[in-house]
This record gives sequence, C-alpha cells and structure tokens, in this order.
Amino acid sequence: MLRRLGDVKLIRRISNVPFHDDLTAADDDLFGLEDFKHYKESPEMTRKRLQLEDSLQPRQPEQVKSTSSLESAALRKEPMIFISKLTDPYLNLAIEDYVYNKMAPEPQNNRLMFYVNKPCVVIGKNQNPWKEVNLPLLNSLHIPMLRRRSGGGTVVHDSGNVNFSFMTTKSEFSRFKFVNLVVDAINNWGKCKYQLEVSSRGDITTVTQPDGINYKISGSAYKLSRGKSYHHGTMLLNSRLDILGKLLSNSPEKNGIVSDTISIDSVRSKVANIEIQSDEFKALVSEAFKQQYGVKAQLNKEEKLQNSLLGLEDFMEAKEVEIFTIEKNTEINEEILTTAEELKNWNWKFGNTPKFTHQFTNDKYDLKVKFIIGKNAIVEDFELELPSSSSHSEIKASFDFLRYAIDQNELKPAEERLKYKGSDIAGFITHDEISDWIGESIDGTI
Amino acid sequence: MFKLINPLRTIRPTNLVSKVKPLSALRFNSDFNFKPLGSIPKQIKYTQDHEWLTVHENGSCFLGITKYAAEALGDATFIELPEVNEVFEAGDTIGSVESVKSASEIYTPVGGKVRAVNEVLSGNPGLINQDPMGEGWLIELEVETENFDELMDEEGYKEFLNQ
Repeated sequence: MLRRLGDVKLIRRISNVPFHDDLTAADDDLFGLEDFKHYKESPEMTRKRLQLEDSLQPRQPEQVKSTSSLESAALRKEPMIFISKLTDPYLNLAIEDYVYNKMAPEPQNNRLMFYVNKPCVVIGKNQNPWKEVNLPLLNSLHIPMLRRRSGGGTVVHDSGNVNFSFMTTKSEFSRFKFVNLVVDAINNWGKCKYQLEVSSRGDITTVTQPDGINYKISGSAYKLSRGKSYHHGTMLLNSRLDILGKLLSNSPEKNGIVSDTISIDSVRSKVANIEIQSDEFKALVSEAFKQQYGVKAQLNKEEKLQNSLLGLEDFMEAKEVEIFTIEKNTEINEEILTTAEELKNWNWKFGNTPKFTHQFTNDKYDLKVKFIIGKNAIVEDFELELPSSSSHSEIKASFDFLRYAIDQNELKPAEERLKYKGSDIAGFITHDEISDWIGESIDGTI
Repeated sequence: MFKLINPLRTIRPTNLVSKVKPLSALRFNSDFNFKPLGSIPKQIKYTQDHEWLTVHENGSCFLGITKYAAEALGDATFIELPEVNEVFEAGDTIGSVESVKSASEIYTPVGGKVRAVNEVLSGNPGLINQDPMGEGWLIELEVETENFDELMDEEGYKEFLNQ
C-alpha cells in the first residue's frame, strides 16, 4: 500500500491526473469521488503511466542492509558484535562457526561474539577424549562433551564463564592482539580483583600472586582458514572451579591408561575467577572492540553542522559497532542446525581421535585388557592378559565374540566397523561382570 | 607445457642449475628437496594459501605447504590428513595442521583422488617445519587436469609474498 500511495503522489505532482484508480480514502471523501473507485485503467493508459513512472523513478539509494536476521547480520561488511543468549553449547558453537563462515575474507573484517554455555566440557580438535575427560563421570552427570574445530586443550564451560570469539582476516591473525585488548579493557576499568596479563602461550592470567602463581583466567585457541581466522577463549568469571577440575580428572585405576604418540595434551594450570558480572565483562570488551575496530558514526548534515558550530568535531568522531543479539526467538537457519548435528555426531566427537591404546586393569579377576584403537576410533585389536589357570579360561572365552567382531572389521565398510563405544564393546563380552566393568570404564555406557 | 628435464636422468640440484634451466627459474631449489617425491617435477606451482604443488610426468601431483607457511605456523604438533582414495574438488580442505593451539586448514588447489598420504607426519609432525618442501609433503594426488595456469609460478609467488 505504501508503494501505491507513493505512486499516486508522484503522478499527481507531475501530470496532475485527477481521475486515477489509486485514489486514497481521504481523496474520496474530499472530492466526492466514491463512484470512480472502480474505474479501470485502459491498457494504453497503464503503459503510458508506467513509462512516465520509470522515467521519473528517483535513483534508489544504496540499499541499507537490514540486520533483522542472523544471516544478514553475519553477511555485513562492517564490524559486528554477536551476543548469544542461548545456552545450548552445540548451538552456540554452530552459530560461532556460521558467523565465521559467513564473514567475508580479506581484505578487512572483524567480528566479536560472546556466548555462555550450560555446563559442558569442550576438547580441542585433535585431542583424545578418553585421555582428557572423565567420560564415565560426565555420562553419569549427563554433561555433554564437545569437540570444537579449533586447536588447543580441554576446557569446562558453565554459566560462570563467558566465551569470547574474535574473528578477523588471516593476515591480521595474531595470537596476542585480542587477549591484550581484553586484558587492557579489564585493567583500565580498575575494578577487577586481579591485575591481568597475557602469558607467552596467549592465555590470560593474573599477574604473579603472593603465592608465586600466575592463575589462569582464560585459555586461547585458534583456527585459520582461507582468508580468515579466529581466536576464542573461555573467560573465568564466576565458574564452579571445584566441579570443573573433577570432570577432567582421570584415575588410571578407574579410567585406564591411554597411550598415544601424538594427540594434543592439555596443559594443566591453576585457575581463578575474576568475579566480574558477565554483562559487565561483555560491555567492557565490546567497548574496547568498538574503539579499536568500530566504524565512524554516520552523522547527518544537521548533526555535522551543529558539531562544527559548537566546535565539537573532534569529540564527536564517535565509533560505532552494531550488536546483534541471538535470542530464543531468533531464527536459527538450517545451516546452523546441520553444524550442531555434526558436532553431536559420535564420529566427530570420538571418531576424530588420533590412534591410541587404552589399557584397563581389573584386580578382582587379575586381568589386564588393552584396546588398540585405529583411525576413526575403530577397534583394531585387543590384548588380554590373564594368569593361566583353568578358572580363567572361562573369562578368556567370554572375549571370543569380541575377537570375532574385530576379525569381521576388515570385511565391512568403514561405517559398520566396531567403534570404540563402551556399550558396543560390552555387548560382545559374555561375562556379565567383566562386560559391565569394561563398558563403564571406557565411557560410562554399558 | 614444457619439459623441465629428462626424467630418466639422475639429477642433482647442481647439474640442474648449470645444464638444464636458466638460473632464474630454479632459485626455489634451495627450498625444495625433490628426493622424497620420487621424481623431479615438470612443473611447480604455488597458491595464495601458501601451498605448493608439484606436477610429475606420471600424472601425479604432490601437495605441501611452503617454507613461508611452515615458519608462520610455528611448531606443528599434529597433522590431520585425508584417507587414501578420497576424492577432492579444487578448493576443498584436505586436512589441517595444529601448531601452538591453532588449527590451520589446508586446501587443495586442484581436484583429484588421493593416491598417498605422508604417513610419517602422523608420527613426526615436526617434519613439516624441518623440510616443508620435501620430506614434509602432505599428499600425493592423482589429478585429471593438465591445466595449472591459474596457479602461481615461483616468480608469481615471490611477488605475492612481497606484497
């Protein structure tokens, strides 16, 4: 309707045609033209009108991109801040991935994203979850374990930490630039419990405390792709540090011994909370981001005139960054949901583990079992160590099906081979107690 | 397409330089170590993502990262490679290198089927830093195209680096 009204004005002003089918209700009343409402324009008239309109069409200003949808926000050329209010870790990681993938590469682009997850454990791209995480404990607590797409070590997320993700071009990639910005923002604010600094590993730590320790506040992990890169971290504000440690602590007795030559080991550090409110942290870092990467505010003529009359030009060079908030009712498109599903897939979470062996010891039965796990976390072999007494021959025989299943692997397509899942392995062991123990020890699934 | 050298002859970098090609085109020899690639390539190409591609007589191509890339990445701690027989299109990610907590994607500039992957790297990722243009090769690809004109030659890559 708006457009139709616009047309009328245009026509009137130019050609002053009184009898037109686009008259508005107001016109009807004013001019008593009710009867002409059903007037049909002749084809010739339509053609003439359209011609006239075309020639008079004012030049369209460059379309201002609406940032009403996540997609249009992610596609913007200007720097953007994304704040996710969602707490599902799969969705948040998928949105982060989406924002990153949609960002145009070189020559220049900047994004900052914040998200807070429900309790979960996040391992690095090339880590071994059996080694890094207490899987049986996680399973019993129904806490999800995720594998992210960046490198580095394992972290625990909960509502007391804020994840930040800074995206830029590949040529602008730096391991320190962004954490320096965060540290400066907090230190300049001056109300933080600790003075912060950046370690040689790109982590955020406290300055050396009286006990001689630089407590870790945030780890850093990075990803580099064609023309772009990101740097994300997990800032400890008010996390439940007591629980955090337990989820990652494995005992050789219960969780077995993982050996490999090559997966990425986490570096254990003493951690601390900086006890800032999450919104305060986001505001401080956003402000620093705005000062660094924001675009100059677009002032209209009047504002410019006013500023120059008042001699405020220098002060009014304000920088702006648009913030896009992802809320419950924000439309999450298919691409994001697909990524979230990929992140949930066992083949990504567990199957992406580099080759390893996993050995368990059972004192009650005096047995040792070692699983040899190949690419895609396929069970390649196992070794059983038992005392050679007759009572143990029964136990030995209870592994026969498992042996058979592994022997069948070679004949099967990759997808159907025996995967290193507690419940699957346990299913092939016919001794009930040993079966349960193995299933429980591998990942807490029986 | 020109033939760089007679593939049947055993070539050492010294006689390559003095007898076969003018010096200017072969300055990369200081960085390249052809021995692990089995034969001297007939063409050497570079990408803007800092990968090198050698094209050999037998229709195969070796792919790796340049010395510049290896230095920029820092010490590699893990190298993710594809499966043999996997098929890729030009521009696809074929793997990644993890170094100092960063995962860097590696792309193939040409489509093809993976003929071999450098298994040594899975046990010794540091090789990619020590000899990125030789022992640290990533994959051998069976390619369909014979046209590599879109990729940079050595001169072009050097100019690209200088920009």
